[in-house]
Amino acid sequence: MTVSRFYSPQSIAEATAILRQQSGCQVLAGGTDLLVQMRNGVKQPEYIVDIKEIPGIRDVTLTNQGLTLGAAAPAQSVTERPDIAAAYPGLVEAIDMIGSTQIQGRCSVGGNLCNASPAADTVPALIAVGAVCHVVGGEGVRQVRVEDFNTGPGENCLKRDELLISLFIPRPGVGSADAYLRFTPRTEMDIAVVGAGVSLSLDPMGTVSAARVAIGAAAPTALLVEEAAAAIIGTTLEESALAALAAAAGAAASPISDKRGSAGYRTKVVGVMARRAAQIACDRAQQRQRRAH
Amino acid sequence: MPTVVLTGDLRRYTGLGEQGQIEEVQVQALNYRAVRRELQAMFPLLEDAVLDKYGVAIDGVMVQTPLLETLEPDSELVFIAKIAAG
Amino acid sequence: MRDAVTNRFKVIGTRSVRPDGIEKVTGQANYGADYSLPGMLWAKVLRSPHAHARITSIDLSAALAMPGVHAAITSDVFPDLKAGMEDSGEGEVDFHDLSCNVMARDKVLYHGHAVAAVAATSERIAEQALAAIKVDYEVLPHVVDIGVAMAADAPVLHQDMFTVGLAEPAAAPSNIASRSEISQGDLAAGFAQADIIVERSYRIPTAHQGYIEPHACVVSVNQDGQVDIWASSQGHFMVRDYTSKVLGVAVGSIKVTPAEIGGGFGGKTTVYLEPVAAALSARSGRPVKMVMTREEVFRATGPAAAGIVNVRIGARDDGKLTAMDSEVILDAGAYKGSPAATGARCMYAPYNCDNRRTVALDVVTNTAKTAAYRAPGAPQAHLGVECVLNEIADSLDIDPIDLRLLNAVDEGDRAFFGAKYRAIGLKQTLEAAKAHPNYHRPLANGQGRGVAVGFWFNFGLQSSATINVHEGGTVAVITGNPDIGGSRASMALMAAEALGVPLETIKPHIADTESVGYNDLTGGSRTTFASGWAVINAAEKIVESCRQRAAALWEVDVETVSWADGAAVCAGHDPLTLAQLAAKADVTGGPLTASASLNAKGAGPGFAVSLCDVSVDRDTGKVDIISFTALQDVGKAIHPGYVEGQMEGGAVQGIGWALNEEYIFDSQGRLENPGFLDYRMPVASDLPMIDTVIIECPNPGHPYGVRGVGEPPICAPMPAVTTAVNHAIGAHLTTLPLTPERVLAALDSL
Repeated sequence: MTVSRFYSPQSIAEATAILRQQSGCQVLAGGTDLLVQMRNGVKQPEYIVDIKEIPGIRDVTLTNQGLTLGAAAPAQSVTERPDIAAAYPGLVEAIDMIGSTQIQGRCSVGGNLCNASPAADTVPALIAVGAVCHVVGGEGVRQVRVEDFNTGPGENCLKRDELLISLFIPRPGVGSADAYLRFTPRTEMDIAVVGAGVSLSLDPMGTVSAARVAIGAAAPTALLVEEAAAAIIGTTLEESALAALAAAAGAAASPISDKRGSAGYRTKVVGVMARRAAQIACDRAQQRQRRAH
Repeated sequence: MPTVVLTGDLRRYTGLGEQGQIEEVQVQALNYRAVRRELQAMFPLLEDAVLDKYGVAIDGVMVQTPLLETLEPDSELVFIAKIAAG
Repeated sequence: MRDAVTNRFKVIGTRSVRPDGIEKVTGQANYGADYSLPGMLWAKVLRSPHAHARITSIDLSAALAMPGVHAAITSDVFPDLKAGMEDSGEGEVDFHDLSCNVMARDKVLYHGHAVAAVAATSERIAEQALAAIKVDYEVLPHVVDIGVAMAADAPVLHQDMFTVGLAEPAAAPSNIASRSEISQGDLAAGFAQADIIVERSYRIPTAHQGYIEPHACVVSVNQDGQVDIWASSQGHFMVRDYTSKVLGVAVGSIKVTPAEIGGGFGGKTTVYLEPVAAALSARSGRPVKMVMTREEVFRATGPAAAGIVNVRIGARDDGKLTAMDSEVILDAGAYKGSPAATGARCMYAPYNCDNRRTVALDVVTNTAKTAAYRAPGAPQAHLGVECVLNEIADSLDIDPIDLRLLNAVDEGDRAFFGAKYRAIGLKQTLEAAKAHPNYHRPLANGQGRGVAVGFWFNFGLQSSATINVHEGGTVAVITGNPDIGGSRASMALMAAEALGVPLETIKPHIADTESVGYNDLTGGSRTTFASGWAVINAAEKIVESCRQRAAALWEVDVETVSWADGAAVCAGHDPLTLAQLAAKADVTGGPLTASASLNAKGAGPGFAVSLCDVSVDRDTGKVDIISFTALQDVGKAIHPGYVEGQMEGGAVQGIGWALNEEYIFDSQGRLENPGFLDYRMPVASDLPMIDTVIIECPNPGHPYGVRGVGEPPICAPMPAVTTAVNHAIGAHLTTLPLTPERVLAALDSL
């Protein structure tokens, strides 16, 4: 019922040591999911390990190679950066959809991923831009692709003594861009009925040369849908290609029916979101090409 | 003579026409107390407990204190089922 | 006429600064949960996990044995009250049912129904103690849908409930509490005259008022049995009277101090916590505080009734209505008393038609007892009639506003509910809608427009006011209605107008139940009308007293003294201002004070018109409101800004109810969305700016022409939105809310 101890480790090693020694630990970053879950009795951890004191874990760094998001960096520290939004507009849109302004001052992208909600907005957006997780545990360091990170609703691949330290997202090229769209009945303060993230690259002729399509709230975890990407690679996003993309996204979906939407509705609308996101990503990529010339 | 309009379920107590139909009757009375006495003489089933469940409008105005009201010879008194407010 | 009335006033009709504004924007105003007392305990309620079950035993002993727990109760502590409806001013209340709703007796009737309560030294301990209470239930079959509840084989909630109002007495208990019918003319003949007949059945979901402040109170019972209550409600006299009934304590032993109220919309017209807190305080000897969680508000306080509204209307080719027949079936929740009959009386009120009938059915289900929600019953009923009228207009190729103008009631017409109308502004409001630029904006592909009319009776009832003039000339205006929609500002404006003094000198106050005469609650759109009238009457008494005092000072006949611009005036004398007269009060008769009470008659009916344009995303079914215009006859707008606020708020609540708001129950009858995340009220970015048009057709029954304002605004939005969506997609959706999924399914089936 009650938390018996609250840890604030000052290093990764200290944190992983605590996780290894104590069972019943719950890692705390922004706490915007955890505190709600504790309040309504979904989670009742005995120990809390607050990782925010670990040096560098709240850092956000953009270089020519890419973006590194510290696992506990608040969403606000990403959304307030125009340079990041310019490089990864879709990802930043997804981050900006989380909760409210107040929530975004606390919540982290890393936490959104670890919470493993099938409907998390940042996860399909991260998958689309090829984000990789940097994980540290007692047995060392490993890299996990975001699409492989979550294993089911509320479940991820972290072992008991492992910690997500940061996410790395490679910098997109000149003809590349991303987009994320979700469907909600309201414009904000809502949870995705379905979501879709798309990143794509255009060759100088305007043909899609590479693409990644990810869908959310359409399966137990967010999915990378390679068939959907294949449907637009080699095309100029003509209607038939977009229709094939939408069909592939819908075919990959295996959603549940709940108070937020039926399985049938989600299956249909996830394709709509995917094709619209692809179109936006394509428009952005074309703009970048034009600007580069 | 003032007119009394009986609406809704009051028809059940008057035995006039079909249930639910609006019915008008003429009375000699020039105040509410006398109206009730006259109605009850005409329709014995219209007991106080029944009439008390109804609101009263006189000449188009909902009145909360009909006992204090007087009627004109051309007045119209309507019994209306009470309603709840938000 | 309109200008003559408008020009009468000096301060009425201005957009003055709100007297309570600074306290509220700085967070200093005290709402229900802001009160605390020394030694206070926190209480929590144990609620039923089942939708319908018999309570076989409750064991409080483990909870009572916990350190920090000072009292625990079940319904045993409340007296058994006689069943039967009693007049409570605002409508009828069965206090037996009310008491059972406050705390369940032998059966729980909905998920969330209060079963027991604990008072402890902290909220946390109280919560832990709830977990230690052992309740044994025998779970019973449940029913949460009114359609299912009416079936002969449905689980019956109350074995002693037999349908009232049937031609033959009911033979078996039923979930249909009552049936009432009103009719006039000859329906069969009316339909025979019709060139077109449209018949539809509408479903409306349960919707919550969604007030921002959860119910909260602090109650202290002293050794003498005196009960002091601080609570947020729509009427502290109501809290006093209802608590008195449930506790079996004399009204004179209870004093209620009103907290500020963070919204009510009809939902705070009854009690849930106060009798429980009082019983726990009496047992513990300490003050007890209770604050509901949002989840408790959704599960256990009264939402608006779900409904089934069946409508059949006939019209001639020229649009003249020949027959109207309808059935209004509304969900009362666990105990009888839905506003079905009220809605049925509103739905035809805007129109003349010789042949018509309504049947109203009040049905109970295993859901929280419903409460009032702005014009209770009217939005559901209007949905049916207004949507069908729009379909008739479409079929006859008549402008929907013209169709309404052709059939609209006017002064001298007999309303369907019985009385003849005095001056009303329906036609003026319809004409204003027709002339509005928003009605002529070209619609793009995928967009649709809807028009609808709404009606509400408006109430008078009992109000009291006291005015005290201070030395220096400031004026305290004391009333007894919680200020929900800016009524302090309205009272101050009316007092300033009647006294002829600057608005800044008026200090409006809302007094506790001991410090001002009785007031019926803030509801029925009655406060500005009736309490304002009491203020005007008290002000006129002050003026009269001032004239007499001035006459005495001047040694003149009082008839030669008049009152102008806040001063006594008499030829040959310098005017004596209110401040000057107040300074001489001691030698002219003592303190300058006056009180007035009334049971206000002459409430003027209110009509509203909604115009709505929507755009529908054909791939997702999502509806966007692109334009919404609310027009309303308000009689006289005392403070136009707050009148517009009422109109905008009603529009937004109606839009929410039409598009996304609904109670979603699981197969066990448990509410699945008891929070604002999944109970989807609109947020600001979902809405356009709401355009408002105030029409002023003065109410001849009020000294300043006031009509009630707060309820008509929610009556017309649902049918306006529904019609707009149907026009946009070419369908006939009749089940609300018009969720994206429902709209997409309709598009797919075209």
